[in-house]
Amino acid sequence: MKKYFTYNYLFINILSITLLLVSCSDDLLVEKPESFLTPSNAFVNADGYNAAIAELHRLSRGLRTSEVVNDYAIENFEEDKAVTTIYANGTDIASFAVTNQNQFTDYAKINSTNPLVSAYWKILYKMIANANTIVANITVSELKEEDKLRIEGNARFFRAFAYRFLVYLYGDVPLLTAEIKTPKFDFTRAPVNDILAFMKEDLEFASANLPSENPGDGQLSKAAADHILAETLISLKDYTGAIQAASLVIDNSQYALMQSRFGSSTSIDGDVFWDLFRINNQNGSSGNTESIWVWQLDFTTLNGEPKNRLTRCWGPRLERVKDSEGNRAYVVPPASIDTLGRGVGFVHPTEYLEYTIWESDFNNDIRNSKYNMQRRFTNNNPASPEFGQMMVPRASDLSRNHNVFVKKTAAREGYPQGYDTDGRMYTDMYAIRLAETYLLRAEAYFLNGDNTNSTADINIIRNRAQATPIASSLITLDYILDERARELVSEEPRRLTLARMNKLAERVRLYNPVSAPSIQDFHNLWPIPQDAIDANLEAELIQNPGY
Amino acid sequence: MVKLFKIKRSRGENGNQGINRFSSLSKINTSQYLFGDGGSSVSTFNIETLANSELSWESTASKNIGLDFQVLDNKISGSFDAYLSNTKDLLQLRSIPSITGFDQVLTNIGEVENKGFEFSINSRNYDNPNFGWDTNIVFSSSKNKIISLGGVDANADGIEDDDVANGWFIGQPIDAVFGFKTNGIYQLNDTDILSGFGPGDFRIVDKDDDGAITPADREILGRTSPNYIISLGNTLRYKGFSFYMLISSTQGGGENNAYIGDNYDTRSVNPRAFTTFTERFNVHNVPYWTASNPSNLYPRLDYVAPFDHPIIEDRSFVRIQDISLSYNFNEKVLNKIGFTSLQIFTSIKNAHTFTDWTGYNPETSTTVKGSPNLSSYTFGLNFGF
Repeated sequence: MKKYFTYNYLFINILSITLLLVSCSDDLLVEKPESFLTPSNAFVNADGYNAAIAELHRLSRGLRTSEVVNDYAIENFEEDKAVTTIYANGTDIASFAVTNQNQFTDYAKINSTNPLVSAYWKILYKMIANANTIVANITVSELKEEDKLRIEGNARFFRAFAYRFLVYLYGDVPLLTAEIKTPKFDFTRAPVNDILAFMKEDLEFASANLPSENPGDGQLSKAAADHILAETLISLKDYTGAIQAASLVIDNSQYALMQSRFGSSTSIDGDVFWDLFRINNQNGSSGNTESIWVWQLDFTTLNGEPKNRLTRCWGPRLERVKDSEGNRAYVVPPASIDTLGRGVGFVHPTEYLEYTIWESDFNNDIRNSKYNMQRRFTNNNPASPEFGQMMVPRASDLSRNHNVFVKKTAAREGYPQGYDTDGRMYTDMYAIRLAETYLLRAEAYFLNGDNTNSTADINIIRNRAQATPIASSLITLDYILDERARELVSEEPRRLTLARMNKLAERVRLYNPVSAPSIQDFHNLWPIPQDAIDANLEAELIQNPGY
Repeated sequence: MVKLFKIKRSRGENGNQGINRFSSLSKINTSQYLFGDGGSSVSTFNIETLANSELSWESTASKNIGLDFQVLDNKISGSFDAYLSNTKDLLQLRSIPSITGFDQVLTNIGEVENKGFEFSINSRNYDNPNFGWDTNIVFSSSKNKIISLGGVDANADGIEDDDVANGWFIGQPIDAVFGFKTNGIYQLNDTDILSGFGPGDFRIVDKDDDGAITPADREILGRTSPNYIISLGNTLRYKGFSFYMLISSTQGGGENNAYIGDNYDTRSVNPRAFTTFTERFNVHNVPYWTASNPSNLYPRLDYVAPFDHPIIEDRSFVRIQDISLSYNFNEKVLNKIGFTSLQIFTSIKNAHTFTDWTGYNPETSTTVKGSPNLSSYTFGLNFGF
């Protein structure tokens, strides 16, 4: 019995020791994802990286078409109105026409809990995080060297593009130069000049490694990097560098301003400036040599319709206008008769945009032609006694029912779906157009003390528009801003431009009577979002002064 | 006298893996973009979540003491239970600085203490062949508080830091509500209207009294869990009649302002953050503020909060949950009509709720934006043959 017990005891001991020595292999414990994507199985070939770059295209398009804003803003925030605060509302060219709420019309209401301020911050840092992950993975990948450089060039362009919005909207911001792999709570703000210098490095790398030939289909090319580089160098006060970067684009024979009618809509009355904004006229295949980088939209392509709702925002809300008998003065669907779409009038242009900037060349500047700035609207309701006559404002109308319609934002042929209450358009959108490169170079020349060349650049733009050339003695930064408004209205993120030039508060006081009483100098920058400050537990993100 | 008297005591420690496999890995979601006109779209990859290789189980150590009893010839039976538990390394979605590119991460954090007390009593008050009356009471109360959040003391004041972004505060319940407090509505004649506000706007409390509303004015407003829940059921039986009524009550309030909810969508006609005027909506009928209706509860029609704030209301309620009445026909009648059983019954579910909550259902903090709690009325016959 005792012996039996001893054997038994020995056996258990041997078994235990064996089990202790034999462990499962490490491989068995590694989680291998097979049904979903994670960086370890997504970034194994060029396709994975291309898809990550395509997401950066999509996110950047969301800064313009607003498809992304809603993912990051709080419930119910109407995203097309959100985007207008970057492009128009609360600046010198327009104010929010609906109610005087927190859409940057009453600046006293802007604070760090504003949902837009937080949404843009998140989208931009999302772009930076995605770009950083791409850069971190591509540099250690086994892809071909040329693929590596092209992909890194794309990622770094978008990283700089995101910092460009951050630095002009918020001022000093945390500078992330590498991938974040664990949660971090101790961010601090880097000075504007550090951010700009980092953008310069990224853009120089992108300029050297993006294809020099413009594919003309929405992909990035060298010229896109050079254009943003020129703007960045102006902010760094390197005017010679800025002139050089812009000249690389302007002197490139692939690019030229469109001088005569072209593209999809030449059978309809219009002019070349109008043609630039018709459907299918932005990509290189239309013969357009003026586009440098275009955000893509397409009807019936999966996710090709991300809410280009410019007409909703910029179009006067004509469908609520009544005739003398209380009938509707404007009936829908007018697609076959008229070119007006369904405006809802969120953006109310200031007098500055409607009249002041056109005064000198009201009748000859084609950018102010009836095709491009529509000022007369006709009663199109056959049941109305005033059918065919010009609509007139009545006491019951709201300001949003009547304004000059910037027709860049309308698209007669842009409604392949027919009448659409959602007001979606399928016209591609310029991210960068050569005309702006000229205006950037004009700004750099001017700041460099070279009025002659500055004037020459501005007059290239004015000549195409058939406007009278400007004398070099009249050039000022404000004149350049006026010219930008004439040429780039609704295309340029006006708030960014004004903030970049430190002109926002000054020009709002001059030209935007709705916001003038509430704006103060500190409003040139947005507040740092409160949720960013709150979550940053281990260091203080100091709020911008005034907020 | 005493048929059962059992004292229970237990203590133990559990792990909780309440996470899915692969939760520690970074996930990529896909969308589409397109290049060129008339082509097809391409897939895009977006890094959706941050990896967390440190992710592990949470563990709970708990102690429990209890009592089961049956006394007075089974007339009264019931149980008492009290517990105290400590959960460490809680699995939580934690808000992190969006500067990382991510809003939140699934992580293990801190330590939370839970304690509570429950009892139930069943009493057979009368039990005669012709008349019976049973009463049933169930009561529960629980409290939790955050003991630690991982020991960060960035401001070096010797006290562990709170986590404002997540609304987690040391010593406070994990469901604490943090934000701007409101105190009525600004009126026309008010002379102390702060910049950015006007008559008809909510008066946000300037806690630090610096003459401006800033994020420093936020405070802990209360918590969303109740102080206690109690329900009372009574069954009465007289000959063939049977009557049952259940009243339930969930109570908050008190010094810690328990069981509060955000009733913004009921009290403000213009829904939160919807920045256009509400001309298109058919909205709930509320006596909103106007110059001639100087309400102190409801803001003006087109109010948009300059600071995102909740409109706190107490959700405490007493509800008549169930009423039912039935009559079973006796054998005499059944024999005559040849049925083996015949019952006629009526019942009301969710008959009435007494509450100060001005939205729909206080229990789920439903505002008028949601659906009301349904009441149902049933009438029927049950028969067998």
